[in-house]
Amino acid sequence: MILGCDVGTGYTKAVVMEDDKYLFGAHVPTNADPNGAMQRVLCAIEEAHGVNAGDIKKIVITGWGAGSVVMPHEEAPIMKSLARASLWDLSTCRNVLCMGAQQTAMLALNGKGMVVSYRLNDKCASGAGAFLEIIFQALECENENSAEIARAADKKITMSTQCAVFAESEVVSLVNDGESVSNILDAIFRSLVSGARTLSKRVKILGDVVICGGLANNDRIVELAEETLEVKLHVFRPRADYIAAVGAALSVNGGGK
Amino acid sequence: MIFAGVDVGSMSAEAVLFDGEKILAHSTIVVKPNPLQSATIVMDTVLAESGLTYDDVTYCVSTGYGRERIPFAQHDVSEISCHGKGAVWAIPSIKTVIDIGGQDSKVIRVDANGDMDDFVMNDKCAAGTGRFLEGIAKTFHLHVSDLGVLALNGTDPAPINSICTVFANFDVMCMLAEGQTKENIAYGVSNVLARRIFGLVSKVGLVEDVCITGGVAKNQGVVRSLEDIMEVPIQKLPVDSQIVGALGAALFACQRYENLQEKNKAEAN
Repeated sequence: MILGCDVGTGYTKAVVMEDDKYLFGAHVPTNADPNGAMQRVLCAIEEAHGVNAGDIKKIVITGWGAGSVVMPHEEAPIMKSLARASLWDLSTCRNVLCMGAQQTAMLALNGKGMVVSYRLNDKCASGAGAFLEIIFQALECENENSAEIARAADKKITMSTQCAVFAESEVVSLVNDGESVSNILDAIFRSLVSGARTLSKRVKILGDVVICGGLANNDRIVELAEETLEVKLHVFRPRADYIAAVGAALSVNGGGK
Repeated sequence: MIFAGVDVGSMSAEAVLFDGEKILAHSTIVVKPNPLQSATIVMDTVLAESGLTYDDVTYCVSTGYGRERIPFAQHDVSEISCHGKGAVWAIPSIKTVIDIGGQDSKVIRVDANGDMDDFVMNDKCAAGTGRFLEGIAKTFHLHVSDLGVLALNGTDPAPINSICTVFANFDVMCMLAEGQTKENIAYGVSNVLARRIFGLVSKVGLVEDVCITGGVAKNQGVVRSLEDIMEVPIQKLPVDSQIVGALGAALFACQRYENLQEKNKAEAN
């Protein structure tokens, strides 16, 4: 068994794979502490699935915090992990749109699975998952039912600011002015996916697109991304935010298969 | 004669009373949700402290958010003009005014009369504004006014690379977890803000003398970082940096009243 991990800025994800098959996974908040998060996610895997440390032949880690983890492990580059996992899930994949906690990335792959171009937005929280978390707090709502709430919007409103910090204040004053949470969430989701559109202008869409990252767990965001990009999106399976962890596990032996 | 200036910002509101030569009184409050309410309270406060009433005020100019809706002001002037005016009155040699407010930042080029020649403004992004520091202070569980002293005690600035307030906050959390001292992190944070401001300064062009107005000017850590990055000294204002906008409004009130008097005289002749 191989353990693939992605220590992200928001969550740390771990998956257990055997012979390139996904067995199970777990995720915990990173809380700015890569080592603590690794320990917690390993406990979660052991407890939920009865895996012993001895069953795991190798640990491969990718993502923001990979460099800080002290337990013995191999490291996998994030871009390659995304590309590997996308092709593993959808062999015809030519683009990967990854919407994470602190960055949005668009990758283009050639027919042989090489990453031929990519663009990142990692300078500004507008369009990132961290932005959405701030808004959820301001609106006192949960990610789980947010897709449904946003779908119930009956009016299109537009946010006047892109900045996450200013948007938080704007959301509070919209609520005070009596605007419905549905309409506000809808506006926030639309503003989030507009960043993906900017990236797609720089990186050409070559064919089938895999969407992944924590934001892609929200099916309303996926729908709106499809609308704005005017393409059908394939949400990474088994779970949109496990993609880099799966890719890390697939990298063992140079990712031969 | 008494001239009044009232400035309602995103975080605080100020009022200044001016007699044509010197500042008689000034007052600062934390803003209320409604600009009109803030303006009224700060004006009531400054008048009460001076034992005066609205009837004693010869002319009043408002500036800042909602400046058009302040009923007791006869005229309103943009806060950019007011900061330039106020700064040059305080130090006549000033050519560049850096105003770092709670929710925006501006760099203003002024002429010898304090009139604006050019300016650049950031109100799109919280980086480079007081809100950036507020966020960091919250992560430290400190009041924003304590950050400056903390930064001054830092010796080796923590390398924070994020410009975005949200991401810089995350960097700060990571650095705290890694055991960096709060002092060095605060120093690093001041550098991030100063770099952002320097970007604005470069667009207008750096011409000495330079001063800083607005609430963030009180943060000595930011002042040190800005001086280091700009490689020029920042002039220390002889008045409270936070009242410069309201002071400018009071100066415009005085100027406008005199102009109106002259016009009336000319018409009478």
